[in-house]
Amino acid sequence: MKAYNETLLKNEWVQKLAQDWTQKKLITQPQRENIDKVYSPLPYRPNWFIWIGLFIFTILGLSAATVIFLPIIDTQFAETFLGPIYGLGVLFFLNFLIKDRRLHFSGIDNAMLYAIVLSFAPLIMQIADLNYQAPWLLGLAYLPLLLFLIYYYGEPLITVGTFLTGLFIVASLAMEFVWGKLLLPFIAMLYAGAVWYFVHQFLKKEQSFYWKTALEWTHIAALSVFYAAGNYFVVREGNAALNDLPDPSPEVALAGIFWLLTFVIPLLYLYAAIHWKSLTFLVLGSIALLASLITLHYYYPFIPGDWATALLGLAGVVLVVWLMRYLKEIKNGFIYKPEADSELAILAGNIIATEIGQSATDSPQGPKFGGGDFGGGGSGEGY
Amino acid sequence: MNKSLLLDELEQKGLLESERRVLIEEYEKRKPVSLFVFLRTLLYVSISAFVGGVGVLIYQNIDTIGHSVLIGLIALATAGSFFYVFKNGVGYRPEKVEQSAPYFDVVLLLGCLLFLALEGYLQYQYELFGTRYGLAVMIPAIYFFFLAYRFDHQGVLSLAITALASWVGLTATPSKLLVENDFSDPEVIRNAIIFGVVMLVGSWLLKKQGIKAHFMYTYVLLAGTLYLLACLGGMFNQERWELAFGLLLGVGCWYFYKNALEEKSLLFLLLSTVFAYTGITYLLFNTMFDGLIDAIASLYFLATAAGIVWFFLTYKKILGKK
Repeated sequence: MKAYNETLLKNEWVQKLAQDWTQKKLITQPQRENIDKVYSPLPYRPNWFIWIGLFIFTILGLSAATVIFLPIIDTQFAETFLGPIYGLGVLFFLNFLIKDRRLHFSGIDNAMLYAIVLSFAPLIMQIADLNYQAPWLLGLAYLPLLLFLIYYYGEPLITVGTFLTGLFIVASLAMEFVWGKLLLPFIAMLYAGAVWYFVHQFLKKEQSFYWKTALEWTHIAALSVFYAAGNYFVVREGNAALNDLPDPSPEVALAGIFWLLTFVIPLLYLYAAIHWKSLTFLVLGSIALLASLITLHYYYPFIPGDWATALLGLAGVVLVVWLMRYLKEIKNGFIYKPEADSELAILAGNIIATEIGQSATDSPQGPKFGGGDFGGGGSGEGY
Repeated sequence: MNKSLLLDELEQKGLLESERRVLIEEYEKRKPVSLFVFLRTLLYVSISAFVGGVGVLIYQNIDTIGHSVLIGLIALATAGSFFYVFKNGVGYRPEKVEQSAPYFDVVLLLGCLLFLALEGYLQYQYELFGTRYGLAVMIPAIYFFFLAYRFDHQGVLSLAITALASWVGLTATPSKLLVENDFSDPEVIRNAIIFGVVMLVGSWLLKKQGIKAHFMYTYVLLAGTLYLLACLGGMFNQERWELAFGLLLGVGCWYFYKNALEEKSLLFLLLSTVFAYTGITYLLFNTMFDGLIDAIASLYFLATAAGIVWFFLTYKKILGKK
């Protein structure tokens, strides 16, 4: 039993492929039209901006609906059960909308799913009965609902949230023991690694199709946690924070190993990127490498920060320009070829320019560009 | 479902001949990963880091020998960028122009950014413009407007608009819109509204002349958003004038909506809906529904939110857009 009609999702996938094949002139336009005719209808998936609008106003509507119930909540029973009843109501309405309007991650269904998760909070808190003794119990009590929603809907953010809830439970349990506290980074890495391995294997299987987006998000989350858990900065500062140690944080045990992990993991990701031709690994590896360099600079500032920024930027420009030239032809499965501008790209171009313009002129007293602190409202010192 | 199974299926259904199928299978196997977005982003991040770092370095090394070398290098790089741009740029035409020289748009943007850093330094060190700060932001504004039109660069145009905005004391940088503009200050509100109107009317006139019609998007995005925010700020803070500001907001939203249709921009559709909804709701609650009980207020939100969701779901039919 799944909430979304898998045939629609398959149609969407096939039509996308057919579109690509047409652009590459592998099939003719009439052929594509035939394929589109056979593989229809499609699920409703809005443009990004419309997605945002749908999401915002669904949230607004759902919140307004809860306010209507507020006056009724006056007994313990109502306090505990009204939320879940409301959640169930939303669930049924959601399933109706999915069937009726063929929604699939359209902003509306995402918002409703998050509302359902929240609406069960009072009941689950009651079940976990924590009195704030062991917050991980709350996570544990939430798991069945979350796992059900993941199976039934495959919503990516809820899936990532569940992954993090699992991490929280594992880490909290580990903290109960002395050895667990000591080995915490490795336990977190083990957990993230195990989840990553499962996702990686499952993605190869046919059945994974329905959960593809969720799995891809979890893939990214697991790799990020895996890197962060071994990062020297996270370990050292985390250790200080967990044990209430004074600033500056003291050196940690096994520092050498963590330094090694800090630099080996990004390189491993970059290797994986080339080996598997994976954009995800490439992006994560690059960000991780940058984070590692910043970590190194944080503890051993061998050159002043501004020099480091400027030189790193310059090195980046040179590297990118070289890569753009090098990848004009397909090399090792990668290519750099200009793509048609989407609205998002034009928007990004406009915004990025002004943002960089601002950073270029963060001078102590110069005409602070874009800062709006000169000219005194069009009058005054202007001319 | 993997692709080769799908190809089987397409072949069986008679949607694909077997020769094409072989070609497609080969293509899917060798299909390269496109690094376009990744490398572009990395390039912008690198430029940002470089320019930002250099911008600070200039000030930190004042009165050292390395300093004049640094300034010299930056001046050289700026001049080099502009030389490249003017040498290789395609001639001016009023319609959209694609530059063919490699990295053209990046070099132009870099030149502009370094120009800003350099100018800021000259002002700081030698007080080039004295206390005529207005002049110091007006010069890059005019120069960037010229460059944007000459070489057809929307990024440089946004720089020019931000520069001009800062001349009237406003911040048009999107991430700082709400942080650095005090929209409770009547003067800021007034300036933002005038600035928005001037920019939008000006760009509309240029568009009518057929001059860089696609630049409209940038004007509406930067100056238009500033205008809408100022109208809301006026409504929230100047009770006596709230209807007047509401009217201005309505005109602005209508303009956004009109541009959403013309530019086929869904972002403008979103912005015009959100601003109009906020304005109308505020006015209703502040005037007519004053002192309304919660239950009816929440009914209002429930019904209107559902209405807007419905609008977004069916806007294609309403706008007759494909």
